Amino acid sequence: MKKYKILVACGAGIATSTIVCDRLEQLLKNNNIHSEIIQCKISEVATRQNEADLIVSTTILPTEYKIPAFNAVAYISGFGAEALDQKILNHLKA
Amino acid sequence: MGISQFLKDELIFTEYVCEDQEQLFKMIHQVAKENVYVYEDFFKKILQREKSYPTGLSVGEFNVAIPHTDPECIIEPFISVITLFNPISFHLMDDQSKEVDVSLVVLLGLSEPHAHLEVLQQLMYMIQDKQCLDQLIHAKCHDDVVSVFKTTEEISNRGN
Repeated sequence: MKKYKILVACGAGIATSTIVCDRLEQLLKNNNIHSEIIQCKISEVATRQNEADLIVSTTILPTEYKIPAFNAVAYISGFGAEALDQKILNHLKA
Repeated sequence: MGISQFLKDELIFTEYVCEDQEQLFKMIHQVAKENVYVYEDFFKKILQREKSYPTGLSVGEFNVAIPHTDPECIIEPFISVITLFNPISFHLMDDQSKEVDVSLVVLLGLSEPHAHLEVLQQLMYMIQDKQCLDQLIHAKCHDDVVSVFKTTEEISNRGN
């Protein structure tokens, strides 16, 4: 089974990414998706993208990355959180 | 760990009047500095961080902002709650090109990355729960704010 590496980023790598990490861990575990979640600052994503499959970020992405990126503000505001769950699952299962 | 233990009496403001983010951050910085919660660079850092990575959230009827910055400029962790008499403008977290009028600011002065999950979850619960948010936004005094935080904590503890 493939193990996915997911970068979870926010501006400071401290507050909102912590919420997203927890939500993703639960989501992927419940769906039997083998993964490693790495919490980081958005400024670190550019240099770490080569080691990962997916970026999930609460901040605006400052640049284009080589790997797919999802915006995760829905997990913070609560609006559209389930839809985002589905989007991420669909992407990983595809 | 509960969210209310991070509240500091001197950092709760209700129906606060100010012009913009800069004024608000400056005031918080001064109070936090006097109480030795932050280092000197806090003001500069939080202002800069809000510019680069804004924290405005659109949550239905009201808009909320959760400014925070590098843990390195925090001495003692705190959460500052400010309800605004006149909303002030913040850029949206997920769309820097859009500005929203924010009525509630919850400023997070957290010192340990990754360590505050429970506190953050309680905060998100408050923001996402319409009744909690309503009560916070219409808080008239310290006690109103503290009471919403305590209630959230109780709900969260029951859930665990």
